[in-house]
Amino acid sequence: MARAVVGQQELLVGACVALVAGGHVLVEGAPGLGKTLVARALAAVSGCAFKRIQFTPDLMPSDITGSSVFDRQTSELRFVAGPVFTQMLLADEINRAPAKTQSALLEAMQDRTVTEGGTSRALPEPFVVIATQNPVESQGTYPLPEAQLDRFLLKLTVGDPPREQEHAIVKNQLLGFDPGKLELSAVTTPAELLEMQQHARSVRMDDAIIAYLVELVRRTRDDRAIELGASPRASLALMRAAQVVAASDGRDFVTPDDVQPMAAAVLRHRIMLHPDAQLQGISADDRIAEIVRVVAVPRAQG
Amino acid sequence: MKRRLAVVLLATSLGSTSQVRAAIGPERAGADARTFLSGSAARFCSAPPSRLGPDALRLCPLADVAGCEPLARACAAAAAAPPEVSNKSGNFDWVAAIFGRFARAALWLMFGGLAAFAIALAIAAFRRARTDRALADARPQASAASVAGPAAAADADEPDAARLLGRAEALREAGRHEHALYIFLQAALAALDARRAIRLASGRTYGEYVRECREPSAREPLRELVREVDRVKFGGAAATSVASGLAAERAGRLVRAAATLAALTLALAACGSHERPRRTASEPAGTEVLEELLSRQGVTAGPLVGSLARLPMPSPGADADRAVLVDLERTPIDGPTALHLMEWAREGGVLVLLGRTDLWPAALGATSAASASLEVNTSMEVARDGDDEPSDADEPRASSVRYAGRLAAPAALSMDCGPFAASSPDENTLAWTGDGVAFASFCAVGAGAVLGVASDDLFTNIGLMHPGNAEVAFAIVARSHASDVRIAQPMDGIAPPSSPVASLARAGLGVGMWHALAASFLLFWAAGVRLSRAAEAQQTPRRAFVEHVEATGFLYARAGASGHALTAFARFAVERLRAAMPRAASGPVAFLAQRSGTPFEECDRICAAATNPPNPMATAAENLAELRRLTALYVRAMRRAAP
Repeated sequence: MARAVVGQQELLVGACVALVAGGHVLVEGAPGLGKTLVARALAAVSGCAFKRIQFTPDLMPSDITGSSVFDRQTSELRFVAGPVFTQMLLADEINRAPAKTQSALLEAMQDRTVTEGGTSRALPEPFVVIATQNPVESQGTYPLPEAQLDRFLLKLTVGDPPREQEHAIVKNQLLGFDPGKLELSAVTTPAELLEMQQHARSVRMDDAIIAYLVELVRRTRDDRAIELGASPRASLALMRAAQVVAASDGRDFVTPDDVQPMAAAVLRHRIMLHPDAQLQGISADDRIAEIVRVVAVPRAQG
Repeated sequence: MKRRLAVVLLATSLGSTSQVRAAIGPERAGADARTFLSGSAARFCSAPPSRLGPDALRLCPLADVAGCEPLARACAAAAAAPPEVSNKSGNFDWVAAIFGRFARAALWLMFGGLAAFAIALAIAAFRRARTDRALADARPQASAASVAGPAAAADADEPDAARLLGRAEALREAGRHEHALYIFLQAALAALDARRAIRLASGRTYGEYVRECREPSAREPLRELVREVDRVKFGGAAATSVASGLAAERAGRLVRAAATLAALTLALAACGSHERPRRTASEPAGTEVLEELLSRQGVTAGPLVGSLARLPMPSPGADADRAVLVDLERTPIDGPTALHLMEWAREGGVLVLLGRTDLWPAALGATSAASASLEVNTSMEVARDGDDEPSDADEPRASSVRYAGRLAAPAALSMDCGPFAASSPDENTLAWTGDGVAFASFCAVGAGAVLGVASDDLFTNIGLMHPGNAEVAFAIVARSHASDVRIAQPMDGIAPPSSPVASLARAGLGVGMWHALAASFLLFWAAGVRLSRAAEAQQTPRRAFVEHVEATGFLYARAGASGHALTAFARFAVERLRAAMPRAASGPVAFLAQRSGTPFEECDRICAAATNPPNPMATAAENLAELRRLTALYVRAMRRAAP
């Protein structure tokens, strides 16, 4: 992937963690920072089937899930699967669609099934949604409801690349790199990804680590700058992300060092700041960093 | 025959003869002075400053010493071309005055700006603290403490890495490898924290310690140690003896590095403190030579640390041989300092004062005396050489030795020691000028003593170089009984301010300080208003219409149009009555009569008079009376009409 994407390490690592953890990713960043490229590159190297939905205000739920159409030949209703029936779905600019359309993804993201006409249909495994949204524009956008935000394992923010990386991006284009034609070969298969997910789930998590990450999440509920803290689903998400980080480091157990780096990505979209805090310019990342700083890390005691 | 000079103090002033405790020997001082002059340290002689200061110029008559030719030449040059007090800028005085005003204004502005900046910082800090206090989760979580457990406490309570290492070794030998492993890590972290290679904090992970470790050589063993501890602690693996042995070796390496570093530091410090760096004297009027000669005689000598006004009172017995030498020409003292010095001497301190008597504490009653002689003489009883067998028991063992020196300018004194005198000063004259006037005197003051010298010429760098001067100076100093002489520095004579406010006031910034305080108050007040909680906006009465009516009234009054005013108000009243009256009401007059409780006819008359065109025959008084009646009716009616 480094051949296709210059920089954006946090985004790459976060996307990989979500892929192995079997979670979904919400990527927030201004246009032109490579969000879509990362998704496509990730799909290419993972060997997963990839589809993209460009969310627009007139997008209907059936445009995502699919719908039943009358088949003249058989005189029956036949289900035509929507683009959600894939392994890696890029929901581009997800906040441009109204809440009804956004909610069409809820069941797919949580249960990995699509119910249409009273019939539930399973989605292929693995199933990962990479949604992008632009934080700058507010005209004609529909903020994601909290219930849907909670379904995303991680929320990754994409910032402007440093000067050197931007230089390299421009130079790569001059040298003939075409982002429309990614010549990336798969380094794994969906079946292997499922095995990785199984392996990550088996990574040992000590009680002290569980207590630590639970404490991190619970602190978001007690923080006075936070109107709405993270739910227990956040604890689960933090656990799964930490397990993947530990496994990627070649360990079969989780340490606090695996938990801390994922705390911001797991928690930032699950908390709602108090309006006063927002007015004072305090961000969710600030509060999470402070919580991580003050919560005592479990240590070996003699 | 080996000769040894033993200086015996002629302490007639104290009523008894006693031997000088410090081995101050005038003869030796003279020899040391000559040695000093021949060395390279006497830069005031060999390489004097290109422009001699007033003090150095005052001492120029003493520069005629062999070896001090460069200084003598500098003195001659300075005498040939006296420093110009230029008056050339007289034509530009007005420019200087203008710039001076600008500079003063700029200084005030700068001071105000600094004050405002500091206040702004304080306000920002205050706001931040308030925000943090409001937002921070102040409640410590019990579960967090249990998560951290005793380990965090151990970090704080047992910072001694060596002790932790010993404890870990004991645990390892006892076969408790898991605990040993943990303590080894704690020892390593404590050692690194003590060396400031890492900073221990409860919210930091072991991985952070490894990544932030500022000692590259320590990073790898610490990483391995952390890895092993993580494997056991969080991975559930069993701690083996091999693992604890490796941990012991790594932790030992990390902890011993601290001890090695400390030993190296101590060694370097010890090497560095082997010998006091030799001082060089570059200013003819300085006191470096005096310090050096005193040191060579075994006297502890050096600059005074701290202000004379804060000189700690001598403790009985402990400070008996300590003297403070104050050259009042270089170190002018203020009133509080003089009082404190006298108190200090009375409590047992020995004070050596040099310089013009008008600079001395008034309590000593010292005045300058007339003398025209540059010569100064003193005498001391010096013990004879220490023969093993005295030839004659009746022969006196001490002989009086006379020393003579030369001053740069004539100086003499008369000192009655004021109310502190414990003995007659006439008996305590230590040195005389060539014409027999006292040059140095001794006063027993309470438990201490004051030793006064009319001029500091003898004690300056160049003064001590002149033949005979060192002997005279040290013969005088020998009377102080001191083995520890502290020399006051130029700024030591001013009592330090008791508070920052006093400091500012002394610096002439008192007014500015009050201005800054006022500005601070205003700024805090303004910021406080901004920071105060938003209050519910109070419903203020609508003033616009009232103001409009008043303005209209004033307009009519200026125009003398009381009739128009009456008509206008009547129209307004009728309109309001129409708006307020119920549908069944027959008219505004009836409504007015009913609500105000006034007969209909009366109301009708008043309304008719008001609503008809102005009567040109009516006087202003009549119109106003009518207006008042209408107003009273209207107000009464509207009050009753209000729900």
